[in-house]
Amino acid sequence: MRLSYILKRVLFTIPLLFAIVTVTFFIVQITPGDPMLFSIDERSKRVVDPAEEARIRLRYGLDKPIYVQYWKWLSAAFTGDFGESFVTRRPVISMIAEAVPYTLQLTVLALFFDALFGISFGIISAVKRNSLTDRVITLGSLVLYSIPGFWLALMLVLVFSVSLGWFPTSQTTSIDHDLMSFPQQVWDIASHLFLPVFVLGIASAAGTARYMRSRLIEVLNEEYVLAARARGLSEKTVILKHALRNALVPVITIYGLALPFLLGGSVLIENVFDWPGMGRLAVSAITARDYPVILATTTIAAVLTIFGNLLADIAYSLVDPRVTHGLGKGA
Amino acid sequence: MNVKRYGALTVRVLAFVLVSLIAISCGGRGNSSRRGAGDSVTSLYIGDERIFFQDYWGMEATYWMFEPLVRRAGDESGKVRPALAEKWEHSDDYRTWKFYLRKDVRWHDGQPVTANDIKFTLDLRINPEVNPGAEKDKYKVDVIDDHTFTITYKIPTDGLDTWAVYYPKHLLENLDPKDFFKWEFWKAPVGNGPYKLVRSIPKTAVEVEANPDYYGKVPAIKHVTLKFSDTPSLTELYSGNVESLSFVSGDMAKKLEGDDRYRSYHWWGSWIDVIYWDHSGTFFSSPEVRRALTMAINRRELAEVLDDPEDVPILDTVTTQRQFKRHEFPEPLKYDPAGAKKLLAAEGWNDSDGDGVLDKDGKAFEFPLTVNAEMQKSAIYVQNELRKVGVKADIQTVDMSILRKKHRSGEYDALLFRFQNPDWIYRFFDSDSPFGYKNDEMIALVKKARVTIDPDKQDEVMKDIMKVMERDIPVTFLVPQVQFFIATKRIKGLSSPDRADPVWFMPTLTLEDGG
Repeated sequence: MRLSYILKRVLFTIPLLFAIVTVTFFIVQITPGDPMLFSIDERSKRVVDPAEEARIRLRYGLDKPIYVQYWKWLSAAFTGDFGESFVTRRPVISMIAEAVPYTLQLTVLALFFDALFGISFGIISAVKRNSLTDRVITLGSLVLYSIPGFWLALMLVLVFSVSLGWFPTSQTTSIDHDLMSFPQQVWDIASHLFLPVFVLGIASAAGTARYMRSRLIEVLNEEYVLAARARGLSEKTVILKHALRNALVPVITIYGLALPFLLGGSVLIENVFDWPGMGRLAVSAITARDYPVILATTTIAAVLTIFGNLLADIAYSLVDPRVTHGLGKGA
Repeated sequence: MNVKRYGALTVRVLAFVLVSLIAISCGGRGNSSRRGAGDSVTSLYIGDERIFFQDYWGMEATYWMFEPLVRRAGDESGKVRPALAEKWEHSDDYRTWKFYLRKDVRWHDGQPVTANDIKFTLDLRINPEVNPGAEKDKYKVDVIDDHTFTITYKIPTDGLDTWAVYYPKHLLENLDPKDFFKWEFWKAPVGNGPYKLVRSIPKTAVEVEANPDYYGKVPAIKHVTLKFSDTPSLTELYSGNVESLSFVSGDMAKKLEGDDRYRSYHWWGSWIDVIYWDHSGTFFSSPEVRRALTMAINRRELAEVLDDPEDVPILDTVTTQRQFKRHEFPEPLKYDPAGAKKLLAAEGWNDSDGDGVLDKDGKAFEFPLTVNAEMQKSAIYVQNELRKVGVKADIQTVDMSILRKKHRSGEYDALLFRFQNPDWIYRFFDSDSPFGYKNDEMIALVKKARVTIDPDKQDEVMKDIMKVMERDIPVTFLVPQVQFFIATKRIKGLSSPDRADPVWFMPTLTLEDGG
């Protein structure tokens, strides 16, 4: 039953993926203006003359019917070849390959930060329900959840980088990074990571804390928790071994859906901190109307969202058999 | 209580992690020992580690690393002076140019720069694999000896290219032109210019040092680091990470007024904001209407609105570069809304129904003014000015790509965009003008300008073009686009408007406290 559920979900993903990449391609194609010529016009600050335009169209196959261009793009994209950037004239896939590690540095740490602080404070808040600690955590997480990330980032840069000089303002390493000793290099990387990771992680940690609190309070009111307490188990054991395990199940969904974030990065934060990841690549591409890069980043984001959902569904079905049973009955 | 203990422990762990991270960050901050001191400068630069790369459009820093054949003097003379080429001559028809290279120029790896390097680069430049838009037979290069070569063009051409730079054949000849944009050379180029690469830090910065073997004057600023960014950032300047910013906005430059640590500089080049009128439509076919609309706009005030400096020139005609620098152009039309109204009335445009909008044969003088978000401020100002004379412009804001397409095709009533002075006359004032401008005298002059290479004769042709433009007002020139730059006061040798860009002029700048 569980296997057939997973198989169905995987099979359903294929037409969805196909539909998304097709829609993405045609949306970009129907965008008014001629992307390739626009890119050359803008970059060279001139107007491409008709003879030059004809040569460029011929060279890039833009003179071919749209369905031919679509098929060419789709078959190439299937093999990971997203074409050549209009701006840098480099393969899009190599630009993405350069950006991904930088984004992963940020997002993996931000997720770790989120999990560490969000779950911890959620537990404290639930356990100390209605106490001063709970109220402080609740208020703090609501405030942090509500603050726009880019604003927080700018304020932190102003205070901690410009005024206090504790952290670098931007980029991934200092200019003299390669001249430093190994420990200094580690510190250098950590200091560059701190503010962007903090900003990225804090809002989601605040959300996780709120979610964790409500789930844990719900679970703590369950009868089996009462039974555990009645058996004389310590409060720590009740919370960590019994209540927390069940309260954490829905969190899987949240982290499953984090997959697009992991590789998609954070557009705003990467731009504020001049972080050369996927988010900044996407924004630069949009600003420069670099359509091959826009197509690639959009497609990757869409694919990751689908896979994130798929993974979350599969994980959920593994930990909660009611999901597959429900499907079986309904089917 | 266990729960209490658990909570307290968690808080302590979290606090430890936080404090540790802060301590690590503070202790490990690796600022440059050289930055902002002695003979070195760090500038913020919009770009990445491929900044020295020139395919067919260069960037300012390209010229630190590579030399062009000739350079144009930045002064009012606009004269071309030697660089790689020490002298040159041309055939009477300006199709064949012969260049004599300096013999004392070496690549940064010590190899001599020869005519073979020039031919190699010029051939690359018209290789369809490198430049798909190029004409393969635009020119032919013949090497006579190591330091002499000729270029023969298909049509008469100004062969004194101050822009193109050249690459070392001995390092690149065995590479595949198909991979031109992927060559590792662009990350660690070997040039022949005043600076040579010290190191390139991916996604972060490049560092260069003065080339002691440079044939010209060795730069006084011995070390320069260009820190990459997507946008000019005041926080980088305030935090002392960089000492100059390029291409900042006017309001950013204004923010620093009164701050003794910094100086702002401005420059205007060949880009002018312009309203293109559709000459084939109902409203703008008459030159008198276009004249009236130009007179209705207070362009000096518009410059103030745009935070442009007071000395920005206002003009109605195209010019050669040196005419522009010398202010050798006719007085622009005066701001005269009353005169504009009279001219419009003479053309039959009156407010017959008293609704505040002029009309003629039952048709109101109302049209869409196409613009992109970047130029919306100017568009709103123009809209208000035109409203005062009874003309209603409805602003249509479109994306830049659409604006570009409309601009190229002429699909608009009125469009606010830029104009490159004077190069765009060849595209817009010729017989195939996208916005329907047709004047046989102008077409003949444009054709003549195309084949006039001698600078003095170019000035003469341009004067004739100015006369026709004064009569026809084919477009309404608003204000030249102004670029702003910021540098710390330590950096000496910059001035507005001729020497404003710290990156462009870096090889000739000095520092207050050394260098």
